[in-house]
Amino acid sequence: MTDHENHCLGVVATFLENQGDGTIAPAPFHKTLKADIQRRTNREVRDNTFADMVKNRGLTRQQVQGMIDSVMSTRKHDDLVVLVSNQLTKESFVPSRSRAMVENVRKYLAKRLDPTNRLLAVAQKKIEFELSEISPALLSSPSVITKIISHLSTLNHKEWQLIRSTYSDEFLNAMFAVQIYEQELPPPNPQSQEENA
Amino acid sequence: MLKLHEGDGEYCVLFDVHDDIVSLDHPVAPTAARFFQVKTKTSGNWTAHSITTGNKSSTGEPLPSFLGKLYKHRLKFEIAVDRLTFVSNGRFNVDMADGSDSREKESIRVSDLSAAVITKIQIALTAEHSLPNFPTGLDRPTLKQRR
Repeated sequence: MTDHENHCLGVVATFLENQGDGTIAPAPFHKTLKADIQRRTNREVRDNTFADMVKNRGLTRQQVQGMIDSVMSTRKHDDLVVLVSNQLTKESFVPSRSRAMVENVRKYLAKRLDPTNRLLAVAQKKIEFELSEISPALLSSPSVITKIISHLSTLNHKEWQLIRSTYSDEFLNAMFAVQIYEQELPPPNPQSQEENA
Repeated sequence: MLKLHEGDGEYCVLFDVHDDIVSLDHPVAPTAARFFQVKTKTSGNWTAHSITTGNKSSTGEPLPSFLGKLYKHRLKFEIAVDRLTFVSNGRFNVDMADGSDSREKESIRVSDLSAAVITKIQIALTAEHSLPNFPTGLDRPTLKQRR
């Protein structure tokens, strides 16, 4: 890393200390911001109006805040890993598989911070779509991860095939698990809770 | 931009507008603009001559100087130009009115330069923009040294 980049990263780190819960990692936010600025700087379009110029080349408070919000804080990141890990225990995953899954969850959360990783972005969109189509009863099941993995594994999307071949089956399952918790979950199904009890 | 975000108001930072960065006080209805021209220098210092003298195009036509380009915004922009800043990693070697060493400064207002340098800049800007009189508002441009 050049002296200039180190200096920029330091400025970003100081800035992020007062944003969100104060635990947002500077490197991913710096990378996101840099990629966005480069995209706007290199855009070769004609700005016919002031509104065009703002749209094509401008970054507003709202957009910068969106970038800050999209980079998950270290605390939220850790909370999500704990949630998945606890659920795997509840669902009686064998320890070795549970460990592998948690490791892939961490790997996925780290890799998706790269805004240039389109492979993950499109696969994630597909998961979000498929989860939105799933019945609330399944999403509130006590064995939600097992059931969702088993349901989604029957679908043969090319975006997911690419994830399997680039990373692994378990990496794709980890993506499913993360998205389950990031999806707006329906309220718990009382019947399922009774079954669980 | 991060400094603006730490404040309360709206803002919009535009990238690569006539090679410059522009910050507006509102994305929809701006009332003030700040222009920044960022130039990297690999060796040596900036001088009054180097910031007020443009290169020549491939056909021999004179190209605008860095300060001249920045000053042009003040002449043509319809909304109030709040600040004009030339930013570089290079240092500035220019005579200061108070005799201090400009190479040690991170921020220099053009109005704080020696009378001789200000006159030199005024002559250069007058010629570059074909102004009828010496340019006004030389308290606005600032030279900043940043890593």
